[in-house]
Amino acid sequence: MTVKITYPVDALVSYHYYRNDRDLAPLAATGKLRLIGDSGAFSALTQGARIDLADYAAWVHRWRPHLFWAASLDVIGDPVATWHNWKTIREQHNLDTVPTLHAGTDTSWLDTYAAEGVNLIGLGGMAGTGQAPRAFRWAVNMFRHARDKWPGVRFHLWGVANRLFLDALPAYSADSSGILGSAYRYASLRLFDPTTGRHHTVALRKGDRGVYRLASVLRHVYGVDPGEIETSHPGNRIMLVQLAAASTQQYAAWLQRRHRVSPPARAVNPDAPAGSLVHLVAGSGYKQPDGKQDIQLAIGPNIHVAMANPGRENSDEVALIGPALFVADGSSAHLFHLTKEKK
Amino acid sequence: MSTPTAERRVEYMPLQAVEPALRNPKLHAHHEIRASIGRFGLAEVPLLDERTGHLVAGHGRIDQLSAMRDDGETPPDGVRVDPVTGDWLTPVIRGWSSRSDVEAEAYLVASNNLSTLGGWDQHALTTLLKEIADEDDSLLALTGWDGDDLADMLKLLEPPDLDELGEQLGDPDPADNWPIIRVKVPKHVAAAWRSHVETHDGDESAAFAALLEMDPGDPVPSDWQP
Repeated sequence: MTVKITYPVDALVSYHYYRNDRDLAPLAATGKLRLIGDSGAFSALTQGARIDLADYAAWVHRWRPHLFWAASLDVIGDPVATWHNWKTIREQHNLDTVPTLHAGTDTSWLDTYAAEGVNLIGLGGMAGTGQAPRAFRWAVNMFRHARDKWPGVRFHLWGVANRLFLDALPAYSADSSGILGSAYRYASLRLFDPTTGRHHTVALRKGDRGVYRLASVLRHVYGVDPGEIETSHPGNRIMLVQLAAASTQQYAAWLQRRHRVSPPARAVNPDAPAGSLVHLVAGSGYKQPDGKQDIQLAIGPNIHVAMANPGRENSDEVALIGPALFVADGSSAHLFHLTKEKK
Repeated sequence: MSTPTAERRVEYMPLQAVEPALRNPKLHAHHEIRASIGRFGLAEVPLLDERTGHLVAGHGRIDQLSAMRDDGETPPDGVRVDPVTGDWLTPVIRGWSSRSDVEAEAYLVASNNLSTLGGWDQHALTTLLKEIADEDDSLLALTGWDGDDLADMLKLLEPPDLDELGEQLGDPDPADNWPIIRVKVPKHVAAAWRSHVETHDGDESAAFAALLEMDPGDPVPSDWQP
């Protein structure tokens, strides 16, 4: 059985992990991913590394044709430094990047960016343990402020897969790591049922057989025989990763019908990824400035899965993250399948 | 592959002459079916298998017609009364024959299961139900969903109003999203920390700021503000 995935899959790549062309080029070449670029500064910081603004800007420039949009280099807890970075990237590197406001930041900073013509803004710092309820209150306030004062502004929620946020807030997009690998890593499948709008979680352990409670959804929505994933094991990890991606897409589609968020007018790159692959995403029509090509840009929110560190290529985790990495591998049976489907 | 049997026709049969299937695992929402027949009449006609003489579809409807008759109700629209015997005569589709017992039972299951197998487009369904309820609330109850169900469905499908949400949550507090610092320390350090916090009336942020010789309510001024 083949898991029903719609391409392109929304994905996030961080400069910190994908600074080498060797790592990112195969991903971009698949044409199967709609990529957003991020500096990965927080990850870098936790690992004792720093991100150089000029290097990051050069990376964004180099991969610009393949990026749907790229984030600015934000400084957690310091909106002034974040602002300076954004201005520097714009004025000295001629790049329009997406700035981030961290939980707790005053709405006046939204006004500042919006006054500069920014219409896609990231909201961050909401994913920490114990932060969600207070961050939610802050985010609601930020959305209300934008709605009333800057109706053209759209939001990306960094690191948020929490339904408290995504169900309530009309975000254009969000991203989250850990979605793809959790089923095989923790033998716990979390699956979205589009017929009810609910997520279901079942254990994938011997003797549990909980997966059969989701048999109908697995077969008819996802094209998966529940018997193939009754337990989590190396032989079905690819399928479990694909299933997680497909479930995320189903949830995103549900959110899109719920919120109907139109794309930001200018912040995204309608040419990335190139060609007709963008058409594969259902959404509202978007006319390019030259008026020649009618491109389908996704109605939000879209959930971008965070790609793992390519430096850990030998680990199961990396080898199994999403269809794109299988394509990048160039040797798996999956590559043939994806290539064939592209036709 | 199906093979032609006979032309389908609708025949009126006494209720008591309609034989149910020998095995039927389908359960029925008796109250709702009865209410539906009461309002819409017998709109969909049960199906009889000519080979076995048993019903393959419509058990719930036949059961409820019998109950209505036994309760002395007026025959619903679509049901006739035998002028001689007074029996209720129900329309039944005739002319279809199964080729084996197992095929008959397979069709019995299929006729029940296939209509629900595709599920519902929840957004479209909720919209439709709301419009029905807005027009005539009594019709909503006949769909198998009631007002509470619809309220739940609307909550699930429609995002909350941001203003209502904001009122429920209150205004953000500047201290809402102060960073939370977690440090793993030896037990004696933890004990010292707790003692230190007590000297600041249990206010952890004040205690921490004191160690740094800072005022937690007085952030470092920046050189630029929006």
